[in-house]
Amino acid sequence: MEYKEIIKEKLSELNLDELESILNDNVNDKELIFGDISVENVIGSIMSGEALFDTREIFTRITELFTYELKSTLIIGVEIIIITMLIGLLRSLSSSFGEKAVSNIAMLVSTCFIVGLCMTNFRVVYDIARDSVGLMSNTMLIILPILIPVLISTGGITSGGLLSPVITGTIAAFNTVMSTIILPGVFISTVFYMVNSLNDDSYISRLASFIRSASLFLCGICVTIFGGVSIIQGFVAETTDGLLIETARYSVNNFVPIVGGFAADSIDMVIMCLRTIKNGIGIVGVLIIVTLLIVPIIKLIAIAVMYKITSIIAEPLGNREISECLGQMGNSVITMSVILFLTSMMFIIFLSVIIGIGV
Amino acid sequence: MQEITNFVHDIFIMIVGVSFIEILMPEGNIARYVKYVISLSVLGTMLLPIVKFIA
Repeated sequence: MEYKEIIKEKLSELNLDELESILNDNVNDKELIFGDISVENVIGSIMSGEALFDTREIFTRITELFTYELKSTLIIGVEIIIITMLIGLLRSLSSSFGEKAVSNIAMLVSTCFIVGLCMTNFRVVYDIARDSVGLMSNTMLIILPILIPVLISTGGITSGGLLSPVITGTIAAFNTVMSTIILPGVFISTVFYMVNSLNDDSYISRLASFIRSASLFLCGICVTIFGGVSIIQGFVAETTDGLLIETARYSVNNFVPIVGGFAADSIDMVIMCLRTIKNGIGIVGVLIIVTLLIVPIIKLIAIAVMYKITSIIAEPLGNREISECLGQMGNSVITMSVILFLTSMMFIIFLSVIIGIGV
Repeated sequence: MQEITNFVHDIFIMIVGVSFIEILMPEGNIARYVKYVISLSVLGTMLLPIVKFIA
């Protein structure tokens, strides 16, 4: 039997429906960053030694997406700039109104309007970040039950048995920490930064910066601890599995008379074929996670760039508080994208631990 | 979770209110004392969850 036939047969025995549905819903349909990927395609190109995707095309697609998102965030940027210009006008004309309090109130109301616009926009950013973290965890929880049985069938009995609960538990815990502590923390710090810009004196800017850096620190430490634990588990289990499979092969080779040698060789071949399938599914998983990361992160970076440019424009119009608050908004959006990036990095570490076992 | 929402809500209302009061404040000697009292009340709002936690 040829190895391609073995791979095809084993692949048809796997139930890949949910993985394919994720691929069709989130990766292939919408943005087409990696072109058309499926488990069969990836395994086919691994076996024939082709490149998985065209790098230049990916860059073009990412640039297109980025310009599109930048254009769609342009409206709110223009709105903010127009209000800032109005405030500048009010400030310079305030002497002709007679009483100073009237123009001050008008300026404050305009600032409130800017804060309202920014908060509505930041709510969208928060939803994007929370949804994509949830989607990534769900994807991992769908990929793992497919990947772990294949890993066990390649001889990784200990690693499969150890890694499955560790990774599943970690993902669930991380998702909870993310959606109840870290992302709301960044949201709260942004609210404080915004409301702080209404006033000339800063009352709560230290509190806001403390909450934001605490959230980021918590995220970093979660990724380090959870990723480190799974990597160490993987290393430990891999050694035991190597021992197990060598023993099995040796006993078949030596204790079964005459055909034992052939049997041992074909065990090797079947295991190698299953490893190819495992790596193919793992690579598809990594591609899904990367796509789920790239699309929201491009949106967030476009929004952050918009805020930064708006804050640069608002400064010469003579409004220090608004310019500073827009700059802080940009920083908050960048913090969100950093958190997303760290999350996806942890998931990619999990997948590569599984891919790396028994190569 | 509810306590945190209340805390953020309180601080938000406090700072917005303070901004309006500071603008409408009359010019003169009394303004400085009023500002000090306002700062104390903002501090009180920020420390309220800790007081609740201890009590």
